[in-house]
Amino acid sequence: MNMPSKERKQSIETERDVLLEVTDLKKYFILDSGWFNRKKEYLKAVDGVSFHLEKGETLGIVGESGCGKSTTGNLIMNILEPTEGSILFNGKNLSKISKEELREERQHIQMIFQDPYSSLNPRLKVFDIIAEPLISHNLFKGEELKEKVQELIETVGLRKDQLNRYPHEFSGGQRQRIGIARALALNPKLIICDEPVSALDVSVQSQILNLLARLQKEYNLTYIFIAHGLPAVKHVSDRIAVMYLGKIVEIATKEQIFSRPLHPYTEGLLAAIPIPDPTLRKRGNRNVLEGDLPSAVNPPSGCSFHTRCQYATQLCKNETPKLLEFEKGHSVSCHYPIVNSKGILVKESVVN
Amino acid sequence: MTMENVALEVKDLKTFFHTEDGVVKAVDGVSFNVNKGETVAIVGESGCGKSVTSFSILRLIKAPGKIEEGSIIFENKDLTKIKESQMRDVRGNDISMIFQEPLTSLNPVFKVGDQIAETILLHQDVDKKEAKKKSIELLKKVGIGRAEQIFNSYPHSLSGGMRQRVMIAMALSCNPKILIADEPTTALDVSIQAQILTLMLDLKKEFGTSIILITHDLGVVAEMADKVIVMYAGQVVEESDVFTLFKNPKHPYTKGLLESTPKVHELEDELKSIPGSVPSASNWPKGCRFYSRCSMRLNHCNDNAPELLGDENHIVRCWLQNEEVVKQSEYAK
Amino acid sequence: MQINKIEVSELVEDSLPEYKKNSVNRMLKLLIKSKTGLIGLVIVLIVTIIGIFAEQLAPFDPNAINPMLINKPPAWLEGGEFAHFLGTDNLGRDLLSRIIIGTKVSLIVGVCSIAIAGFIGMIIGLVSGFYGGFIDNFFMRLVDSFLAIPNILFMLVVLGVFGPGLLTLILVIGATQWVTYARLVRGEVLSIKERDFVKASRTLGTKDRTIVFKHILPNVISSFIVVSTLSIATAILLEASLSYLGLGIQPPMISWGGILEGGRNFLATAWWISTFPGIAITITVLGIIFLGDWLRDVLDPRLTK
Repeated sequence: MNMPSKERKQSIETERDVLLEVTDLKKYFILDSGWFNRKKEYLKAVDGVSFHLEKGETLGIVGESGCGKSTTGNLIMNILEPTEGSILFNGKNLSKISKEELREERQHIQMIFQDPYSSLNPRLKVFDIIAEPLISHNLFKGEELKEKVQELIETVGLRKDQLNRYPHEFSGGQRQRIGIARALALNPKLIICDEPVSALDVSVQSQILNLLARLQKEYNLTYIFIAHGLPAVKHVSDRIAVMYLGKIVEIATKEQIFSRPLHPYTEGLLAAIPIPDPTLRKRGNRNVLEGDLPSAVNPPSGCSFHTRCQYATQLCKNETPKLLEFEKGHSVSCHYPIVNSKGILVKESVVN
Repeated sequence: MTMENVALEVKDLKTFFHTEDGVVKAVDGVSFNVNKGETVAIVGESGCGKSVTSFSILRLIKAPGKIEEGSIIFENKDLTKIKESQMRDVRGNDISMIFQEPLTSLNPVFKVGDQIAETILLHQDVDKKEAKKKSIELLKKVGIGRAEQIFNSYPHSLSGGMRQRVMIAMALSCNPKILIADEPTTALDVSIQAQILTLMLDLKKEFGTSIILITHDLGVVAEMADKVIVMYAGQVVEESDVFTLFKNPKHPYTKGLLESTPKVHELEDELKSIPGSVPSASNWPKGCRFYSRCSMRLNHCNDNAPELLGDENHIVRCWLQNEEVVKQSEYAK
Repeated sequence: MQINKIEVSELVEDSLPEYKKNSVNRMLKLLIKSKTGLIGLVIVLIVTIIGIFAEQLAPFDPNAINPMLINKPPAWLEGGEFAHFLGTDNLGRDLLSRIIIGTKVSLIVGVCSIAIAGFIGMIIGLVSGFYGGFIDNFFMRLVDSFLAIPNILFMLVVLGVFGPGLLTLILVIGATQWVTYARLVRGEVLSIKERDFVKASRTLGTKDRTIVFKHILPNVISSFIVVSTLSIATAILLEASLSYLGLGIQPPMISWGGILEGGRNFLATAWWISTFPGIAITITVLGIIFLGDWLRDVLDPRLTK
């Protein structure tokens, strides 16, 4: 492996095992403006996203609708092709390798979907759903296939005899378990969970989260956990990236994000979460984020958050802040990060 | 508590759906009061009957569903018994409702302003010009800055939060006495959810409307509610004021719900879950409906359906509240 | 991969909706519930049996001319004979026998033309919807141009040029009907393609062919079957219309439309010649439509409650 970049050297120094490295990833969608309109418009769904992921780690990606979190997931899954940037998985650049190699690598990246009702083919029995990846990759046949599928369904907490049923006979939580069994079939290294519990009931959500946590330990899985709110990723994530209009505005460990958020948007997101304790009611004086999300077609100039930021100045309107590391493992893209009482200093640049 | 203070009284409501596979008892004997100016939250998971309860109040239950029994007393009238024409007067005028998905509840081919004005024209004795003026005022009240501009726009051109504001404006257009909000923020982004909740709190203060808030999110309940009703499998399992419920939940289901809610203000927390899922509504168990998922179940609970027990401020449908039963029965495995 | 059995505490004990053991039972249950479905099925079954065993069932030779029996009315009218239950036509041929034999032709035309149309439409719809882009554009413009030609006119011209006959008739009806299927299937494919399970299948490394046949086709097939059933009715009506215009089935081959046409000149004196094949057409078409509606309900597992 050749590693020209500085960060790579660092990661080797600290003997970290990097599984995924995303560098300056961009995805622009061309908006069809009709035959007579010459001017092309772009929807910048993902606009320069960089992060890395270590083996066995869970990264939560959080942001409101339209922030590009799902697009990022789809780019890593190779469902979409990036406009720019690179995705290094296991040291291989996924957009540069041949088709066969990609098919091979794809086995190691799997996905769990948000809607357990649309992610399972209603016409197939559970057995066929879970067996599909094993058959596609010619891994098992006949009796062996049967045994493997039975193992898989028991791993996710369902029973063997439920294999010849159809998806509609299961509850949402159970269907999500079937989806997890299918994702596990190919023995993946990385699983991208796209809001895996947001369609489920609260009491069932934690069942699924606990299952995912147990599987992570057992199979040494690495997760990317995509969600629209911070509470959903808090329980599972080691690190969290907060996205806003196609960019990562803050990335840090879970503790850092929750105890001392540096970006005003993260602060706003935290303040927006209703606390399940009436004695801590924020009543009227909560720090509510004003206004709506701007359009990703014409994002605001400078810092894209300045239209909703209470601390914004002229500088924010003119200049786009870079994602800089403020303390170890805690990067933020803001001209005026919320400095805590100690006063944190800029240490070094993350982006070259 | 005097009767004058009560805005709505639901007594032993039963709403059943007669389907191909038998009778689905979606709401099976629900009673509660809503006081004037009070926010009552009905909490529960999907299939617990919370939405069917709210639709029953407005008599919006369609075949094969039917209100089988019980009464809904509003201003000395039983809403289950009055004529459909009288009911239409109540809907949108005295009791109005906002829904989870504001896009589907707005008509896509009409301007949002006209839709609000229409509601006003329907229930109030004003002319078109007056109705328009009122609509714009309402839009301003729900925090829409460019009210005149928004008045003339179509639903699809508005964001989710904006649409929900429009829905609220429409619901408030006739100064309703009761506002039913069915998961009003579930479909919205976190930051927008906070805006809408704050708006609802402000409006409640200003209009003195009673709110029935249907939700599955205990965080929203803690922020908004005065009184909480926890529903499970078509029944009320616990009812108390919001502070008591969060401090001292008594029903194992309520406890389980609280424990499985992520707590963001505490850094370390353990996320517990309730095993299994809700039993089928066409065939409720004979005993306690929570029995199959309960971690505290007694042998007694399997065969005997518990009643609501407790004092005026805190009632619970659980055998653990009955000391004699607890003494006599063993914990089941 | 080593698999650990999960702990008991995590086991999900569930009260699932009652497991539907076989769908045949369910179909029968639904059939009994929906009375029109039952009526439809019975009609279609009877018509099919008549069509298959037409030669055996026909009491007389349908082409045997008998000058003694010209324009005999049906049995229940004055002058009618029980042997010729529905009466005879202007050449003294037994009407009932003719209608029975005609069933065969009508069914063959209906089923075969729709099979051809369905096959072409299905393939084009699948390819068009799944691959999109240029292929899609090409086929959809082709469909548009077909839709722009008046059906009857097109058929009249083709039949006029190539001469009427059973095969030409089937082909010409098939050629006008495939566009319906192409559009229907394409639309369904477009929506199913976007569903998560297709996306999931891609991420699992499944080949395109497998995705189309395993995930997309089975989800298209139910609406396809429903529309096909209804189209058979359309095809039978088309055959009748064309035969009535004299461009369909040619004597001595017998079809309902042909009999109808033959009786046209005798409506005042022998109304039964045109009426009974007309009734046969109506009943069959109604039966097929009833059956189609019932199939629509039955074929979707998601509708099961």
